[in-house]
Formats: sequence, structure tokens, C-alpha cells
Amino acid sequence: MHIPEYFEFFNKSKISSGKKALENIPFDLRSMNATKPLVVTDALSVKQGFVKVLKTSFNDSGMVIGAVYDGVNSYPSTSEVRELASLYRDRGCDSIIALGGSAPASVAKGLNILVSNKSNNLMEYADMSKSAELRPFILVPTSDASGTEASNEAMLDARIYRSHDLMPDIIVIDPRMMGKNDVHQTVNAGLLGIVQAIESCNISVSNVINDSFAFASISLIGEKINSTAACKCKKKERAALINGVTISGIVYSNAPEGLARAIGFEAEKMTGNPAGICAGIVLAYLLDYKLSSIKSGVRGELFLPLAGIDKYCSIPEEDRPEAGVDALFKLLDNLDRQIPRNLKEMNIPEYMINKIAAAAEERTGTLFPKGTALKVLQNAYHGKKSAEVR
Amino acid sequence: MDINKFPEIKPKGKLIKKIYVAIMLWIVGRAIQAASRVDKDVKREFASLRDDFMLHLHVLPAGPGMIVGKDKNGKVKYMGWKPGGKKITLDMQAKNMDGAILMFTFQESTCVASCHNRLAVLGDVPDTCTVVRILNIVETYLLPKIITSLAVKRYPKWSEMNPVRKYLGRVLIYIRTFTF
Repeated sequence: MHIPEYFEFFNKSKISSGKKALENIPFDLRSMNATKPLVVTDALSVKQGFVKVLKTSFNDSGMVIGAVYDGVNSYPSTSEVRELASLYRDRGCDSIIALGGSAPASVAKGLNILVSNKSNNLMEYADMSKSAELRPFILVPTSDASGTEASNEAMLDARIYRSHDLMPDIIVIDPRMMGKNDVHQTVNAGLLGIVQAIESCNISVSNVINDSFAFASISLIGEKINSTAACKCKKKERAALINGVTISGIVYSNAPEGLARAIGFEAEKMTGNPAGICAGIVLAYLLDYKLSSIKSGVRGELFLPLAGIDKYCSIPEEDRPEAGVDALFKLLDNLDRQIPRNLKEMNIPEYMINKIAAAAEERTGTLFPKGTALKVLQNAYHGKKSAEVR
Repeated sequence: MDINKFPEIKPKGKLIKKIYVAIMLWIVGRAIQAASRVDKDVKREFASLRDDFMLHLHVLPAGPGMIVGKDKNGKVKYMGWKPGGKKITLDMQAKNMDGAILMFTFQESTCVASCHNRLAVLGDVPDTCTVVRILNIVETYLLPKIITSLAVKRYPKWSEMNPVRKYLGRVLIYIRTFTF
């Protein structure tokens, strides 16, 4: 096992997952001296009946819900957070529950900064160094989760707020919160999860604890992504996938952002395509490029959670990195009904490739040699591996 | 923003579940008292507990519950459901009504419920283990095998509890539970 001379790992979140997990929320809130939560969610969660289930789970708890705010937009803004802060204060709430995907989670994190600091200006806390201790924050990811909810990031008005304090105190994953929504959303979340997990343990400063979290995440997502993409009705399988996606958020919080993830989010920003699917396609070509050009940075252990112990043991140690990359390509091939085979099929104009590459390289800093992003994007655009390009 | 669009939500009760759990706790409490006089294993388990032992098994946040403990003469007694004025030495709390329902409808055994973190305990761990063993024996007496198998970790073998002991004990415990 790869162990550096020094490492740090931080995880603030307790994960409560499985049957009747929601019913534990009042007990957990009381243990944090909170008695009146504000629920932050979006219209989609109301439509799918998740809000009703959450409200029912509070029955017989003796705990009043301050309000259920179900108006979060898909692009959350600071003005929305400010309005919510006034609702929070008006009702005398003392804790926050975010229900849904990344938008409610981001708004809840922003809201937590404002109400904990008794402020109305989020920009004052951009680096969180002046922030007071935050209020209890519970995250309930649903099948609309995208993979960033459990991380230490909040994105408001396209600005990223990053601090370990922003991680949820408790993450509650309940199979009742898995709806029959679009499978593309599930695939997008699964791929973003796998990207976050693989990239976090493929850097030189990765650590053993983060690796073990990443291993769990990759195993869960790799095992469940095909079955959940094939059928909308498998709630338990979806819950398992969301577990993997949630863990990947924690893994990502303990590592710098990888190139594939950065490309995915820049592509989403510039073209509107889902970040997870873009990043998932790019990751396979990035690892392939690393293997053939840089000849390092792909760990053989990656093959183990993707292929299982039997296949892992049957491959010689030196061939495992290549087998791992092949397993990732195979995983994408199996999803060919849900995702395009390359970026060209996503209707991304070729001239945008340069812009996306430049923005992604700026975002990740000096993690890779200059020009890597463009070469990888070109391969991913045409769907050609490095060996085919030569 | 019109804050009146987002009203406060006061939770409803779960009356039927509450009544069911209250009845089950009453029966189990009375049955523990009866079993401590009928079954030698239950007697031995209680003998290993401290003289002022008092168990409060209840559902958070506001019950129902049951209290079973030793009286001044060392006899095991069901002492109702109100903890006021009693010195509780072992407080076993089901975190919520639905967790308690899973246990008392035998969808989850006591051991599995503990593993799923549905119970919180204030008190000594050895005492808790003893109580779980006592509950297993009492459930074996009270319920048919098909249901008990769901509620206990291992159903006792022939050598541990032969049919004569089981059926005779069951009759005696039922009589004592529902009469005096």
C-alpha cells in the first residue's frame, strides 16, 4: 500500500444509511442541541414526494420544523441565501437540513455561513478564516444528488466557497429518497463520483485513509452504475450508488481537484453538458494518456475495485495499471445507451476544446505539464486512445 | 420573499404505533417478572446483576416505556412505566418509534437493532448484554418458534431448552403475566 511520509485526512461527516435512517434525524439533532431545523430543498424533491417522507419522519419526535423552503433554483445565488437567512432568523431555527442535490446543498452551506456569523454578506467569509463555528447541518441526498453535496465546497453565483467546516455534520441516505427520475442524472452522479475517487487517489500525495474511502466509493459505483442505469425502480441499488457518490465527495475534500473533474465542470460551464458525464469520458482518456506518455500516475490498485479480487489476482502486478484503464473504458462502453462514446457526440464544438483546456489547466494549477489538458481533450473528443493517435 | 408561504410544521403523533409498543412493553415487562420466578437461566442472569438493578426500556422522546428492577428483597418486579422517583441503573432507549416498531414486530432482532444503532444505552455494557440474553429467553417462552427465530440471534437448541421445559415454562409464564 502506498503511504507518504506525511498525510492528513479530515472527515467531519457521520453517514447514517439504510432502512428508516431518516427517523434518526430528530435524535441526532437533539444530540447536537438543536430543536428547530430549517429544511432547504427544491421543487423536484417536492414533486417526487421526498419532502412528504421527510416531514413524516418527524412525526412523534416532538420537534417542530421551522419551515420547508422548496424554492431553490438549479443555479443557486447569494441573494437567495440572504432571503433564506431572514426566514431562518424569523422562525428562530437553530439547524439546517438540505434535501436533494447539489443546489440545495450549496444554498444550505451558504445559509449556514450567514446565520452562524449573524451576517448578510457572504463575501466576507470567502476564505472562512473569520467564520464562527457553524450550526448543525444535516444533508439528505436524494437520487438527484450529483456528487458534490458531501464535499467541502459550496458553489453560489458561480463562485466556489471551500472549507472543511462546510462539510455536513450528518449525511442521511435512505432508500425512500431514491425516486424514479432520469437515469442520465444517476449516470452523471455515478461518473462524477468515480472521477473524484479515482483522481483523488492517483496523485502523488494521496494517503491511505483517503485511498480506503476511494476504494469503497469506486467499488460501490462500479458495481451499481450499470444496474441503476438500466432500471429506474431499484431503490436499494440506487441508495448503494448514492452511498458511493457521497463517499467520493469526502474523498475529493481531502485532495486537490483533478484535471478530468476540472475539464468536466469547465465544459458544463461553457457548453451546458453534464459535468459528470464529460469528466467520466475524459478521465478514461486522461489515464490512458498518463500511461502512454507520462508513464506514471496510474496505480495498479485501481484495477481491484473496478474488476474484483479474482481478476485482480490473475493479472501480473506490472500489467495492473493498464488493466485498470481498460476496465474503466469497459465500464463506459457498458453505459453506451446512456452516455455518448466521445465528446464529439455531446455536440461540443471543436473550437471550444482549446477554451475548456485552458480554463481547466488554470483551475488545477501545476498538477500536470502544460498542454496535457488539450491533448487529453483532443483524444476524448475524437474517441481515440493515445496509441491510435500516434 | 413572502415567509408566510413557508409555514412552520408541527409533527403529528403515531398513536397506533405508540399503543402497540406500549402493550408489547407491558407484556414483556410482566413476562420478565414471571420468567425470573419460573426459569432457572433467567434467575441466574438476574442473580449476576447488582442488588439495586433497575432497567428502563423506553422509546424516545416521550415513551412508552417499561421499568423492571430488583426490589428490596432482591425479587425481580415489573414497576410500571413512569421513571419518576426510581433510581435507574440501566437506561435503554429506542431512538425513535419506528426503530422500536421494527424490534417489536420482530422485523429486527434485539442484536440486529443494536448493530443498526437503533438503541442508545446509558449504563454498563455487561448489564446490557445480560438484559439482551434475558429478553431472548423471555421471547422464546412467549412466542412460537417461527417468530422467535426472527427476534433472537440463535434459537435455543434441544439440549439448551427441551420441549417439556419450554411448554411448561410458557404456560406458567403466561399465567403469571396475565394474572398476578
